[in-house]
Amino acid sequence: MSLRDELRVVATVLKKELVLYFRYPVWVLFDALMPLLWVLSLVIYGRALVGSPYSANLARLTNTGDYVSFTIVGMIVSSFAYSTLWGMSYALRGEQWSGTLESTFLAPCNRFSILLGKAFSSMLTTAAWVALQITLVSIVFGLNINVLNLPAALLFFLIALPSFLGIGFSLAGVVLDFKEHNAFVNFLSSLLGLLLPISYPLSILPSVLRFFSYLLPPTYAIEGMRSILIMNSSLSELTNLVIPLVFFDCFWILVGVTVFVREERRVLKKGTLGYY
Amino acid sequence: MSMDRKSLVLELKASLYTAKKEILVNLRYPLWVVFWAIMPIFWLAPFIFQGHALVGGRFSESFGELAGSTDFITFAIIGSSLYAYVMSALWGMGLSLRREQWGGTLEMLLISPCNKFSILFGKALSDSILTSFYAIVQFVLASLLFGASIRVENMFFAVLIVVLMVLALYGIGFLLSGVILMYKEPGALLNFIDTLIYTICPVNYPLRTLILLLGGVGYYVTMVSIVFPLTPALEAVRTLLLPSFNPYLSIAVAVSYLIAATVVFLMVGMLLFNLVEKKIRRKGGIEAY
Repeated sequence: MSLRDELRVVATVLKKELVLYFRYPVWVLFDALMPLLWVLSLVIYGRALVGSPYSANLARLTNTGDYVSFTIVGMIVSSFAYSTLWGMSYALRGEQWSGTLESTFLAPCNRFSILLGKAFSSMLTTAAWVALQITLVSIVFGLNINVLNLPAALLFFLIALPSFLGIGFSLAGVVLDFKEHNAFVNFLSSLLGLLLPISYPLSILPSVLRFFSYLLPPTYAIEGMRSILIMNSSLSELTNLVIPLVFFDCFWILVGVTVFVREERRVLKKGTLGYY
Repeated sequence: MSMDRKSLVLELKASLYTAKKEILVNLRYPLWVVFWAIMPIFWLAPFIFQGHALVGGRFSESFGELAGSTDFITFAIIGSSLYAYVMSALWGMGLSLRREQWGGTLEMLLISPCNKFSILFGKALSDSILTSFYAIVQFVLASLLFGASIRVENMFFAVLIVVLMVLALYGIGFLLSGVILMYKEPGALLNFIDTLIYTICPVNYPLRTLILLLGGVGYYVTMVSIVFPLTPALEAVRTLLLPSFNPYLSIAVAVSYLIAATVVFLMVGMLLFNLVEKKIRRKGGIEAY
């Protein structure tokens, strides 16, 4: 198939996933409300601790004392990271449950076009809820980000995206073979929630945890986008974050593609692709 | 009379056997047991790190103005240990009949010649035993990792409050079991309730913060929070264990609320479960999943 046809596959899978998603309005409603509740609990907690929207200690550690904006940007970037990481594996698991995975994989197109369509649909719905989150938080608590820096922040995110997709491919491969991945996803989400600098700067973490945090691409994405949106940093000032991200992009795309192709071959040989 | 007593003993035995079976099934998945014992620390730790980042230590004056105690870490450790029981009511009890449906054993279970609430109590009992184990592991681990300063001499009374809260949560578990039996796929609903409770109940922050931050709306949110058994239980347990804690609800009021919540939730839960079970029996949908 030509590149154009593969792109059409990506777009069609994306559309199909979106149609399916909106067929369960209760899930849609909960998806919209839950991130707001998470933000709310972090903001309420911050207010209880410092009594105002400004923390002098956070300012000393990060050059910004505005913990509401600090936390919201962290949550937004991590939401996108999570949706890319889990989006593909959850969607493949859905195909396994519905009994449509075998027929989907028989289609004469590249597997990764299907996976990308699933990842982008998940990112698109996340984008919608993040927009709602930003609007509501700006109205209720006041969000101080530089909107003019949004294109630079988006560019920074695009630099980080290949590494997220690579990890997503690996997880999708694991799901093909191990099927029931809820425990694994729960464990990994909890671990990421601790290691990623979502509501606190990296310097707060004990050195052992900080070491593992530096091995995770979303850490660099959060730090970079926070610097751009809150501290007005330019991309050229963030080379210390861009260089590791480019390295992770190459590494994870390579690992992700290898793991997925290997796992797919394995389940095809075992004849368990359609099992759930 | 002796016949009644015999029936009661038999029903009790049915509950105990159900509890034993559930514990055995749980222990057959050791990874899950380790997960539930350790993971709550991973959920608690970010709040503690956030606290350190915002105030630069383990004590906060602002927190003290709202809670009496400035030690936000012990406050959060107590909160997350008790929250384990809420998660158990939601994800354990609420889902226990759903798991029987998945296993294809629900129909057989419900035609056994014993009261179905003996089975439900058995399932609830096994959850309480396992959750108590998880809560103790969590409390000890969190105290070792982050440090907690509590009044140990009041521990016995605190445990009594927890028992009262667990009874009230049984009612909520029955209620959810009925709803899940009716609507089958509960993931979205349980996730939402879980997050909502975590946000409006004083797990990590004092109840007064809601009013401080949300004004008039916060007052109504606080009232809703108090209806849920976790809130009065946390207020009472912190009054007993956390030095210099200044509760929003006095211990007498909190215990009264808890007793009322236990009676109301148990009655409503059992009533609703009965109604739903009769309805889906008539539809022949008990085994459908």
